[in-house]
Amino acid sequence: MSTKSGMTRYVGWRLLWAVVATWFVLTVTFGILSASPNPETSQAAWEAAQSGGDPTETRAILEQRRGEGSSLSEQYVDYMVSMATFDWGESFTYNEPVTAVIADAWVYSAMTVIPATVLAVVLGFAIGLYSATHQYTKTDYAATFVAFFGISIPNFWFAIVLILVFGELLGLTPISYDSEVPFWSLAHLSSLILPITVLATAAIASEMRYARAEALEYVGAAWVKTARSKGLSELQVTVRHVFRPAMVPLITILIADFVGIIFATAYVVEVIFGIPGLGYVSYQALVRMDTPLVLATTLIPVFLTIVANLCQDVAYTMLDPRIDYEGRSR
Amino acid sequence: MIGGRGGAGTGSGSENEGEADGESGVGTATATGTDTSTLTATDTDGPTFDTVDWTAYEDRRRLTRRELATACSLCLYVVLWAYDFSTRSSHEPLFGFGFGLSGVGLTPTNVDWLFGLTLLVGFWGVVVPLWANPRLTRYYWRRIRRNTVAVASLVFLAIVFVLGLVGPFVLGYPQAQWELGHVPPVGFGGTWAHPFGTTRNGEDLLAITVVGMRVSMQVGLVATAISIGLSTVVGTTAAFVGGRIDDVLMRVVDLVMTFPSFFLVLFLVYVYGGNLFVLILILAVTTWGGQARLIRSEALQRSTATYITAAEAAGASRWSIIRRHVVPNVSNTIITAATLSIPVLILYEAVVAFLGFGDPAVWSWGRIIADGQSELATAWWVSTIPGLFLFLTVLAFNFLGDALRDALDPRHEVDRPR
Amino acid sequence: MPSAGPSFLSRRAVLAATSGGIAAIAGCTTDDGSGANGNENGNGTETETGTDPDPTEQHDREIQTEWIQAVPMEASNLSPYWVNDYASSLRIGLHLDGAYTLDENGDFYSLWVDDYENRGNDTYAFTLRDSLEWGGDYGAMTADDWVWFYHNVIDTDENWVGYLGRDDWRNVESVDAEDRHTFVVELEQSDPLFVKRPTMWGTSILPRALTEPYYQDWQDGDDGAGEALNTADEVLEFRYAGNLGPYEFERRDLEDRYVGTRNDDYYRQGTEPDADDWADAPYFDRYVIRVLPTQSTRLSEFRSGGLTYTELPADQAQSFEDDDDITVVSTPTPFNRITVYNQRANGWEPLRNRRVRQALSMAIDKRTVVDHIFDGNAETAHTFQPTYSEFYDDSHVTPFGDGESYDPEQARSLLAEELSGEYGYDGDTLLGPEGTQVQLDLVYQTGETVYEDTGRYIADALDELGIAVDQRATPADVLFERYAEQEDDSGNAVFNAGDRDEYTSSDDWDLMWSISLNTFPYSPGSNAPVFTQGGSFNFFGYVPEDDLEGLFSDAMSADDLETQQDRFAEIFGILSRDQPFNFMLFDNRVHGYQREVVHTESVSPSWGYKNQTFWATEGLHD
Repeated sequence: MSTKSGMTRYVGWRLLWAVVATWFVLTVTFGILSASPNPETSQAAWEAAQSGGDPTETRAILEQRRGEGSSLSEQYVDYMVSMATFDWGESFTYNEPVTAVIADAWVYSAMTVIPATVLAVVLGFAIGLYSATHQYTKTDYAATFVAFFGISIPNFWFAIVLILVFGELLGLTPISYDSEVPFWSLAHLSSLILPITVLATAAIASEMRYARAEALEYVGAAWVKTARSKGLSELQVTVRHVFRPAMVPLITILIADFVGIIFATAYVVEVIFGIPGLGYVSYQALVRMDTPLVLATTLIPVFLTIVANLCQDVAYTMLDPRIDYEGRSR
Repeated sequence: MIGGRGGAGTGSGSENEGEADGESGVGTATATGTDTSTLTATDTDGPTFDTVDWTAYEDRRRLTRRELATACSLCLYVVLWAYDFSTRSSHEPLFGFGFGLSGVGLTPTNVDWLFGLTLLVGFWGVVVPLWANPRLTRYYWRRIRRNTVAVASLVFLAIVFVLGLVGPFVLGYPQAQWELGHVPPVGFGGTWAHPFGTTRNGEDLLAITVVGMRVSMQVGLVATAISIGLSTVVGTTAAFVGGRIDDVLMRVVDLVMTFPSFFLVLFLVYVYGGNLFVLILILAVTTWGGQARLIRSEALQRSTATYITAAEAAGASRWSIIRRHVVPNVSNTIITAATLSIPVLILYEAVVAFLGFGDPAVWSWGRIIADGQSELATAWWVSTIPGLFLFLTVLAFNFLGDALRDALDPRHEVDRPR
Repeated sequence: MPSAGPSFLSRRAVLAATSGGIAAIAGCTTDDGSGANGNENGNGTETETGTDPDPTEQHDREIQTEWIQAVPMEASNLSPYWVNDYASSLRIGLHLDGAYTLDENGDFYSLWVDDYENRGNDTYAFTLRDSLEWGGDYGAMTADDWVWFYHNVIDTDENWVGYLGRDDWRNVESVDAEDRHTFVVELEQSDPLFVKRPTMWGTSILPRALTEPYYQDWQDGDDGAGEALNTADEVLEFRYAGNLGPYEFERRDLEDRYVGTRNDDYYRQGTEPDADDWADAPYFDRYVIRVLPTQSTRLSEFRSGGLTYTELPADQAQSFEDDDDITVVSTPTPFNRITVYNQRANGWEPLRNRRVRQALSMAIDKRTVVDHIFDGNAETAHTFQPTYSEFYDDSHVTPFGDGESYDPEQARSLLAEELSGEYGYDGDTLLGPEGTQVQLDLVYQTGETVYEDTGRYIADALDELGIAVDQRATPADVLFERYAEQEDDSGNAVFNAGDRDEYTSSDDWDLMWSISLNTFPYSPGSNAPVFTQGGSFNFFGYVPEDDLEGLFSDAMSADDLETQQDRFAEIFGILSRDQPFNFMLFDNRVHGYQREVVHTESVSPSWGYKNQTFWATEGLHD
């Protein structure tokens, strides 16, 4: 099975599946969107009726503006074609191309999410390895507590308390994100500290759990024992023989975390600190039923997740001969 | 560094090999609790022999007493619910209680009924097997006991659980006192009439906190029960039946996992309203994917085990093998996954409330925290006190979940001699 | 709060929010209390200030660097022809003043239009200032721009621009230029109040020379011409705005900020009326609108001095009033926030009985809601007109649920009396025909804590009557779709599809709280669609016993104000007795300013009509 042609066929098959899955998710999204009321239209129709106008006419005008005058099936085909050809059209709400909106927004997300992810990985791995090698000690409990803190506290509450304490009471950091501050400046950095803190604490636990589980699995492995019997120090064993093999699937975890952070945790953080990032923009698109923008912002995480899964599976099959392409018999 | 603690569990590494029980189908559960890789790594006492649960094979067409009792109690419960559903309008008490500060009638909602069902299933699925297998229970207990924080978490959760069940009948539901407004907690200018202070509507925060325990437990447990149920069925079926069904089920799991569930939840809640019952269902059906995959991979390892082959050879049907042998053998994974999914769901409910989609008729911690966040600067206690309880509860679940994984998952060799 | 139900308000609603009453009566809560008692004499020249410096001292009015204000929402359309939300009209208002506005007494206040002349109630002549200049190469704004706008945007067969305000021009027969700066509007039916209607008032237009090429395209069969016009960069970046507004467009960062820079050539500088106030207007070099979706972040920024101005939630205004660095101004609005009784077939049947509705209204204490939930930033309401309206007559109005008219005991006995024999009290519980407790569904929108708190209060109050209440909260648009809209025979969703026994909303409901309706205190005739049996907005199935339709048309066709006042007073009297809904309250808008900001107008429902002349005694955010 593990011949080259088998591999190609496997990857090809998985890519095909990725396309099908993406199409499915987009279709469901489109379905839900077209079944839900549009807040702007509803409100305008409501007000038109109140002043004696015709709500149907008002709706028609607004739907015309959004290019929704045509039948549902035509719209569906239009959207799917535009998604497939990466010509994502114009956002209804911003009157700007969807790609431009995303291009503007992702920079802000990256500024908080990337440092937060790096921080979470470093801290999470450190805590995880420490916890695995020092089980049931007081310091283990303390370290685990630190790791669990972020996933046990409601993010929004934590963010608001940080603002009140460090921003308003102590005056150490800015209260909200100010995009007019120069990019390379201390003031800019200080306005990023609180959001990054919230995001990083929220992500530490999953890294820590992963590192700890892997470490616990490997500490008993034969090669580790060999290494130990060779007289390597415990630190050397941990870093070279426990940590290194645990790094292999890290890329998948990173992508999964990244997607999770941007499209869930980051939304809450961005909305509270007033950062015009991708999470917030995509949430707004959803709430305002901005179909082109919603579809595009759905496509991105779905695509990233699928690619990440594919990478993971390919990496496993290449690195571990025990696994065949079906993922069985591991 | 680890000292005596490491030694406390010495010798127990192989004990799971020897567990058996003459009474039930679950007995075989632990017979192959370890896979071979761990076996080779286990350098303590050699494996002991199993007492084989022959009854499981002999009586497989007859219901055991326990199964009969489970089925009867479930039937009784469904009948009760049907009676309630058909005769009572939703605001009439099923039973009236007159004690406590204000009389509270027992007026179960859909969520309460589901909660009861969850508890019933939990009782037959977790408590009874543990009770029936005292040796196994003792073994697990020894493994968990070494993690003191996990034990403390368990105690804390038990208290929260009991308080949440009983507390509302003693303290009553929070009543608004519109003229009262904000009252700070004791020690910050408040009085013992309201030890935790009040909300802007003059509702007692102590009462809210206690009722919130119940609601948060309901959200966490019910949603988890549904999603774990789904993922167990899908995961074990996929693993054991295999072939095309496995392919199809795993592709469905892929879709559930790739769907941006946070948005899906928001979307559905936006359109279908923040009713607690609906929210629980939505949370449950959007979060089962990862668990199903995990359970499948565990079940895959088990399905090649000799006892399964034996059962197949003995002519057992596929479904009965899944039910009697595969599911019990992955129950460790199931219980761990469940414990870790409860806190996620409790927090999810809070975030949904923060985004403005909370159920206004329900006193969940999430809603109160979200409601109070806008006035943190002027009345910190409204959001902070329930927030502290929510924090501790979720933290406890996380500690307990990790401890369970250490204790139940044999691949994690927790008492490695140094 | 990142409310998911964005508060879309139409241009009409926006205008009405700043529309006039006859006299300001609501409490102003500035820290020195001046003007707190309002201004009953209707003379709007009194200048109210919340701070010590004397605003009439000219030399104080230095131009400060920045005015920063925070809003929860990004705008959706920046074309004046497409705008239909408050967030957008706020931004457009920085660059385009509009034709004219209404002052604190509800009278004409000159902006682009210098003055108008009423030529016998059916013809009005508007004269533009001669200093108005479009930007780019578009030259001066003349009467021709307006005439062309009427003929080619409003009065076309097809609404090619997608202009939502066309309904406002229904009564206009023609618009013609009289000379370079004067144009004449002729009406089909005479209307003594035309100037106060949202037809001309507050209307902004685009230059003819800009619009005409797109119009040609449309004539040539290009269906996308309207969209192309409204999304053209030139339009969205206000390159045409010239000297017509106080600020020039600098930039717009999506979901982040909107920045305008001071327009040195602003036409209104130093002109009458109030030339002193307008001397160097505007008084800030930059006007920054920041998008901060979370309320607590906005308030934190405001408290610590990062914002010049923001709107405050009613239930948190109190803590700011105690803050010496902040001036709080609470202004009345013509918006009535109501609890609707569903009298259609999918509501509780006894709600069709006027006396049952009265009983329910009697059991809800509006005082408690206003004082303890809205923290006093609202007025109780007993009919569909604010008390400051000249069409409101106290002697006709029957109050329910306020002071003595709040009487749960009487409500209970009224219910027992009015409900048929199938109903009855068992102890404290009201039992229905099936022997179970009567249970009503209360629906309201999410988004504000006051909605939720009041919802809970209503549930509590009805519980006292032995009625159980199920609460359901949804975003506003979902609320409309599920509970208000009905499908008519041709499959369209409308708000009154016909007979109340036959047409109902998709979901059942009994009470609907939290929706807010404009009461049109200037032209109460506009309320006919709400209260007549076939009215386009009668989604709740109200069938008046009196001939309200006749009364409304009598009132509207009356030529003299006195007859109109009589008729409308009678209508509003009938409504207060009939209780088609519980009128609950009129909520205030609460504005918070840094102490340094000096106001140049007195508190009124028109608050902010001169906000471009507000100035600051010192730099605010340096």
